[in-house]
Amino acid sequence: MKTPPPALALFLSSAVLASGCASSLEVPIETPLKSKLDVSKFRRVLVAGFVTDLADEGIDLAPETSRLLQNQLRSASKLQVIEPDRPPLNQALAKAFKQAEDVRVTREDRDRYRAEGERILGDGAFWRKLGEEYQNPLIVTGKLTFEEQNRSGFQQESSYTRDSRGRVREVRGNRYADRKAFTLSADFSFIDGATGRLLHKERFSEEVVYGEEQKVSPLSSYFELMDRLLPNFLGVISPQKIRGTRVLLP
Amino acid sequence: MTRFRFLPLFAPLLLLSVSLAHADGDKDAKKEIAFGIDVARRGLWQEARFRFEMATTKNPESASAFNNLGVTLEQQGEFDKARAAYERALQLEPKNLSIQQNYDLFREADEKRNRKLKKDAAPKAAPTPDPASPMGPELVTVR
Repeated sequence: MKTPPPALALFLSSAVLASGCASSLEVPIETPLKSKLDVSKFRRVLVAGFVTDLADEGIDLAPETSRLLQNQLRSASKLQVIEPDRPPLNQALAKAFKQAEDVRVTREDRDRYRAEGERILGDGAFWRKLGEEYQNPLIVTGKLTFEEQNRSGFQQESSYTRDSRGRVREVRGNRYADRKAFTLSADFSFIDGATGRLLHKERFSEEVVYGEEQKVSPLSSYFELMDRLLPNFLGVISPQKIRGTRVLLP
Repeated sequence: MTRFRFLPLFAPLLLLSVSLAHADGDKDAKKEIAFGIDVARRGLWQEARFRFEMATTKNPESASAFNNLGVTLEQQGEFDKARAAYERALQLEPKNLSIQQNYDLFREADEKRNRKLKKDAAPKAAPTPDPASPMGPELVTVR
C-alpha cells in the first residue's frame, strides 16, 4: 500500500485536529468582585497622610504614598479626589513634633513620634473636624513602614561536572551571597469624614529580595512594592475583576 | 382485549413521533447555542445568557447548553446559579474535559472570592504595642 507523503499526512492530521478544535470556543471572562466597603454615600475622598517612621529609608514615605494613592484613586474610583497642599495628618504631626533640621533623634524621639501618630489616628474629633473642613469626604489614612533588611547568608548551590570516565556528576556546595530585602507594611484606615468613625482597617505587607548583582535604589523598590499592594488597596473601595478564560461548547 | 389489538401497530409510530420531537428540540437547542456563542464572542453576555437558557429549555439533556449557561452566569456574577449549571452539565457528561476544566476554574475563582469575604469578616486583632528595645537609644539623622 502506498503511504501518503509526510506533508499531506501533516495537513490531513492538522485539518482533523482543527475541525475538532473549531467546535469549542475559548472566551475571556471577567467576574466581578464587590468592593469591601460601600462608599456610595461619599462623593469625595481625602488621602490625609500617613504615620511613618521619623527616620526614613531615603524616601519621603508619607507624601510619596499620598500622591501615588491620589493618582490611583483618580483613575480607579468614581470619587472626587481632594488634593491638599500637604497631607493634613503629617501637618498635624509636624506641629506636634517640631524638630530642627539635621538634629539627631533618639529612639525615644521616634517612639514619641509614633505614639503621637497613633493617638491622632484614633482621635475621632480630629477626623470629624478635618471632615468638616473638606465637606465630609471618605478619609484614607494609616501607618506605613518601609525597611531595608539584610538577607545575606549561605546559599546551597549545585553544579554539574564530568568525571574521568565522562559521567556527569552533581557537585553540591554552599556559597555566601549578599542579598538585601525591602519590606513595605501598610495599615490603611478608612474613616467617615462626617462622623470621624473608623469604617474599615486593613493591613497589607509586601517584600522584595534582591541579589548581590542587582543594584536597586530604595525608591524604585518602594514603587515596585506599591505596585503589588495597590490592587488590594483599591479593592477596598472600588469593585475589582477576576480575569480568566472559559470554554463554550457547541 | 380487542381494544388493544391495534396497539402493536401504533407503538412504533408513537415512539417515532417522540424521537422526532426530541430531535427537533435538540436541533432548536443547537441553533440557540450557536447564536448564543456568536453573541458571547461579541461580549453580549445578557443575550447569550437568554439563548443558553432557551437551549436548556428546548433540550434539558444538553450538557453544552448548561455549560455555556454556567459561563454566562459566572461572567454576570451569579455564582450560585453558575455552580448549579456547571454541575448539571457535568452530571450529563461526566467525562467531558472542557466542562470539567470550566468547573475547576470556576471553583478556584470562587474559593478566592470566599477567602476574601472570610478574611473581611474575621475579627480584627487589637494593636500590639512595640516591645521596648534592649538596644538602648539609637542615633539617626532626620532628613
